[in-house]
Amino acid sequence: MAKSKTNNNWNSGTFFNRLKYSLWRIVRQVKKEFQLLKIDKMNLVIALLMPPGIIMLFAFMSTSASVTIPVKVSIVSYDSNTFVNQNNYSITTKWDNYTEKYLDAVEESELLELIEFYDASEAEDEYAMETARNEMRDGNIECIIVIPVEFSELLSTGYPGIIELIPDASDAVSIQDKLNAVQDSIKIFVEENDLDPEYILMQHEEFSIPSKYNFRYNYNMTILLPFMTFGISFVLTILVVVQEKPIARLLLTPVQKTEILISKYIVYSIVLALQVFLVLSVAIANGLYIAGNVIDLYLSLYMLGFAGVSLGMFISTVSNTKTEANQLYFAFFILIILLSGMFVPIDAMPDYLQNIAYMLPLSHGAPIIKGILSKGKSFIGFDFFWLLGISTVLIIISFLVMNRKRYEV
Amino acid sequence: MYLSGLVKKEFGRIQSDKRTLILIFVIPIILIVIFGLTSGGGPTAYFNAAIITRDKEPCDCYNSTDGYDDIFIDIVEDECEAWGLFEDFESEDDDDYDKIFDKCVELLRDEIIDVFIILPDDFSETIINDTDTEIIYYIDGSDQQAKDAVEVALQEPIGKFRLEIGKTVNFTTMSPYLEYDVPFWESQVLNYAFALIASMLILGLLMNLTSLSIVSEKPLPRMLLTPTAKDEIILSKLIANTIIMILQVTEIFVMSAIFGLYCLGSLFELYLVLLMTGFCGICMGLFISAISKTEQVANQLYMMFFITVIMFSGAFINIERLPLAMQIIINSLPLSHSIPLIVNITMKGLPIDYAHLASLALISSAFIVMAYITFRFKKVEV
Repeated sequence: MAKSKTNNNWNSGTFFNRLKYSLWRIVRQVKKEFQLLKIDKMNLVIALLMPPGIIMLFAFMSTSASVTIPVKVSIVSYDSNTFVNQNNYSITTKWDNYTEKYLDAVEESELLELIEFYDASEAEDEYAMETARNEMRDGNIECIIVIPVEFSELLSTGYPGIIELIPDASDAVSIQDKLNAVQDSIKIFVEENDLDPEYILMQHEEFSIPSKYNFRYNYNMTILLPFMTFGISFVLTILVVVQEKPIARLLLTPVQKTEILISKYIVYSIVLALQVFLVLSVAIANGLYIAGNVIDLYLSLYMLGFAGVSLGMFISTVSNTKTEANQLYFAFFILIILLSGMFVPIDAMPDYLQNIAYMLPLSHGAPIIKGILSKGKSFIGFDFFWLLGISTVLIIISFLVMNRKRYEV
Repeated sequence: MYLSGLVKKEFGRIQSDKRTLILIFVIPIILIVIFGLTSGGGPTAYFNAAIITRDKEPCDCYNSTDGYDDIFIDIVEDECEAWGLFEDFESEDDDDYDKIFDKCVELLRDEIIDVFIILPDDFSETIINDTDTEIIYYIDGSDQQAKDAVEVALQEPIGKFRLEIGKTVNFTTMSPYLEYDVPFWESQVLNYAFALIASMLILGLLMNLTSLSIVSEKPLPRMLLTPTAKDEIILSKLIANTIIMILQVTEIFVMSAIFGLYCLGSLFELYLVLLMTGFCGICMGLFISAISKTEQVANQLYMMFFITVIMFSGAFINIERLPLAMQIIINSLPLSHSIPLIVNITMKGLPIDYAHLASLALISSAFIVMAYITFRFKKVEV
């Protein structure tokens, strides 16, 4: 009799009364959730301390990798061979007056390391090209520079002198470094030999990272920060609903399903706030350059993490077993990562795939973080609202699913 | 006898979880189909540019003329493979220039363009007079890829411009011929990304499959009341998961071949490397499962391992540039061996590098030994 009276008190009365009791129940639930978190200390330690640890290690690695390593090259010169003038076959020359000069330029360039020079006109270097290619195949050199037979002839008679370059393209990422290094040698060659008129390129950078900051660390942080924030918040929440056994019994009390879910969102949003704070603090302490506002950066990372929390909670709500939650988590995670643009640029994907990629949360991570870090943009923009939209949709679906879910006591 | 029974039991457990099995085999198919059907993605950078020409502005120089700027703009617009012209602006005086400049900075900020080029007021005059010509450009300094590539890329319009106007005296340039690249008729996205994606996918999926295998098994404590030993339990898990891994790697291998895998070297050796990577994933997963007390911890640890393995794979930073201590850390992670092995076999046609393969075997052994030791001393309550 007394209990039913109490229940009446909880569930009846004015709207404000009901709201007051509902809030009170949510507060108690939040407290319970924190106690649950405290029980599994290891889980909390991993969630809070490991991400900053990884960032510190990555910062150390990026800082120590700032030394430029010259590209190892071999030069094969055919310049001393006989050049037959295509317009008059009776005219043959063996000019090689620019070969030595170009060699000097290569040796002067700090971006190149000359491993071997082959003069293909000499008998012992008759198979120079084959030797050089074998060297490149075995990884002893990264690039072959070929000085063609007509190089000196053409340059001396007012035609373009073209140096041929054969870079090892098996590592697509480093092809550009090789081209840049050879271009540097050409620049030195032109300057040292007064090959005027020159086309002087005056480079100015907008939104660049100041020289006192480590460029590589800052550049990679635009990838690592979103990846880390999204990943840790996502994985932390995938089991929170599905693994909680007392939910069924809890529903015998006046506690509502929505209150259970709200309390979980509150708790994991607070944990996320702490996670983002720690990750950001360690990143800044290790030399993160922020052109924009640090609050903007915090809020964007938080939003990204919140998208992770929403997706995790969604998976946890729609799953009937922990195994199912784990499966869904991994399927989502792999798809999100591979289509995030980290490994294959989104612009290189076909249109239908770009549409899918831009619907996923992590694809908006790097642009929003890069905008704040290097361009001083505000967090408010398309990417932020997209993340907010995804989170809202996931939260709504989670609540709908939770309300329709049946629990057996 | 015990072992075969335990392996059977493991298969029963994995089979009962059919959806995991389906996911393990379906995810790679979806991804390989997606990347296999994706065109483009070669190693060439593409620049979307704006050009501000000040050539029409009066200049205090000998032989005042203009007109070469239009030729340069036309070449950037129509004749360059690595360049596209977003818009060209003609400045008439300093005020005009300032306004256009601000507009271009905004375009750069919004990433509508990658670079804007400024042709100075004496552009045509320097060309006529055969003196040095300055070309000024502003690039997005936060875009490392664009920043690294722009100077070489600018040689294309400059070279074509010099040929067009017939001013080739003393012009020196380079012409690259890529060696060991993926031919343009092959699926470049799949093949350039294959080493990273295949090894990451195999490692990730198998780590995920095994990272819960010990921690989530409820009958384990009761099983220890029988004569079953802990080493038999862990060995049975290793065997059962290895069989699943062989099937999965075979599937990835066959699907990649169907969707345009470009491999100059031995397919058998490539298959062996993929198997070894998968085995590494199983050992790492078992280690995670052995040290975790709850499934939540195992999931968290899995995520941390996965992030670490990817970020320290050598794909983001050149390992050679690092100090020895960092090189040791990176070399103790599997992707730093799998990726070069796959690249060397597929793109260069090299035979298998046994040093890298042995490293993968060593890493696997280290993780499985650590998993066994941890499991041996783990206390389980019945």
